[in-house]
Amino acid sequence: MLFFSLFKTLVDQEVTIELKNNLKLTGTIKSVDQFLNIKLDNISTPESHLDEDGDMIYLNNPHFAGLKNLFIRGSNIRYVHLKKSLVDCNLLQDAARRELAMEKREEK
Amino acid sequence: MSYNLKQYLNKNVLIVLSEGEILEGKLIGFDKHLNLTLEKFIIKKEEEEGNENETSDNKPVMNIVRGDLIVFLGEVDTEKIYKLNKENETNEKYNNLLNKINDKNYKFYKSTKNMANEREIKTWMKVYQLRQHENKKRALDDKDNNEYNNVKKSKN
Repeated sequence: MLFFSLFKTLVDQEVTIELKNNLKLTGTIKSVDQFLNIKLDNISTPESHLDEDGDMIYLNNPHFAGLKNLFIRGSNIRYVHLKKSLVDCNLLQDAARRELAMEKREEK
Repeated sequence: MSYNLKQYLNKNVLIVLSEGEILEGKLIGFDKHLNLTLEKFIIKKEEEEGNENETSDNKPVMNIVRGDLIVFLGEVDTEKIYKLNKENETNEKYNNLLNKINDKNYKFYKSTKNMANEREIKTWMKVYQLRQHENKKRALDDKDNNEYNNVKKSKN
């Protein structure tokens, strides 16, 4: 549940998501659920660029040109790249340990 | 417990599956496993240009997509696609892209399944055959040795 709450704090932030089919997507997180499915807006890929009219051009995946937003299934996400300022690693580590300790205590 | 897909209901969605297929259709339902039901859907990889409307009338009206195959889905902005198509009718780069989209064998998305490709299967077949051959040889050698030993023993 810890990472679910972490991602909830990242709503409306820009992240890069790497999928298991080697696709890299950058966009703003719109919502997250408990399976870590992520809804993205303003999608761009490393190859995409803006043309003169302000429309996004996607070279390798032209399907994205017609998409408003994206719902990514959590099981297909390999990495989520975050900016350093978005997450406090020490705090996260502490929280993860605390949660683990809590779970162990509950098992006993 | 269920997925928050209400915003996509009764809208045209584009779905990419784990083997790289691309589906497009109207989403009419989903459940807690992310199984989707689609109306009037098109498999982009298999469909040929020009007869999309003809075939979709003859096809079954509703289709179910299994949830664990789905990589992502997105809402299709039909107006924008129409605009893009109209603007870029004479654009060579865009036409190249369109050709790629209509090409059955061109894959935009890689498979996320850990499936061996044909070449790998052939290689491992060869390895298997070699190994079997070697095993047979070894068995024969052992047999020969045993017979040789038996003969030796009987002589003694």
